Amino acid sequence: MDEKKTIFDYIKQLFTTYGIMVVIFIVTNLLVGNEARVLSTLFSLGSVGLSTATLLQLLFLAVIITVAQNIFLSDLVIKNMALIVRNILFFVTVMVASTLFIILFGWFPVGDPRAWIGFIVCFAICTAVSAFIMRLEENAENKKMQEALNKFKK
Amino acid sequence: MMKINLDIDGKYDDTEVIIRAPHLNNDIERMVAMMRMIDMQIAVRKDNETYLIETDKILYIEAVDRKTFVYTNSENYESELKLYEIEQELIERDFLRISKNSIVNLRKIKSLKTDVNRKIRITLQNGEQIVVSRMYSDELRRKLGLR
Repeated sequence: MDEKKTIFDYIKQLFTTYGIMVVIFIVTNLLVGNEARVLSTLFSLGSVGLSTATLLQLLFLAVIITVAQNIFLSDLVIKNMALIVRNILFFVTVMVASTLFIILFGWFPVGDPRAWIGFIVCFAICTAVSAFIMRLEENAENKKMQEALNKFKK
Repeated sequence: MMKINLDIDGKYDDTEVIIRAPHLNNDIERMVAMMRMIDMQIAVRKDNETYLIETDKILYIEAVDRKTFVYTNSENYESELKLYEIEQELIERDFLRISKNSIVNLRKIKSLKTDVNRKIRITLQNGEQIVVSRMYSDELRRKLGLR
């Protein structure tokens, strides 16, 4: 019998994602906030800090990521699906959501192809690296379990 | 009330169990099935016939709608016993509970793979796949010496 997740588990998951996103944006803001304030609404206050609007937009994005995690990376909704397909669907959902946020909230100039290329390259690198790390972890765990099983059966 | 007589004497070569009853009922069938398990056998039914199968032929046992099903490489049978009764007897024989409604013979596992939510997907020797629920996956890891 699996222990059921409570609402507090989902809130914890949401705010973990949100916390990581806010830390990344604070660090980015400290590094390039003043230069980026004219180009991006995310850094409208310059290096001073992140605006309430930015924090709320990030919270909304964190909600979408948490929902996508629970749909694609758990068996809450989908019972049988290969892990690789789950990961692809998860990252596609996050990319579509991020693109919508960029257009809706003007996170960077939507008419600037270099900005889009930068976004796509960054997203692709982050996705590839996280998928690669997940795959490595999964393979190592599977190998460890298989070796333990073989030893047990001897 | 059921009477129990024990006759322990060095003159006997083997252990013999005799059940005397006015008619065969479910309690007696379950009693016999449990005694069979001590002998590494399990009494199961299929198409109104009773079979005795060796416990080491079992891949896994599953409870569905208050019925207990026993799966071997190519056949599936029904048992009179409840899952927990079988579990009590087989736990010492490399069987392990893997979810609320199933126990698996660890020696019949071909491979193990991690699944979502810290679950483990088991592929059995006949290619069939079953999932170890999150609650029992840590116990499986412990049993394999990984914790």
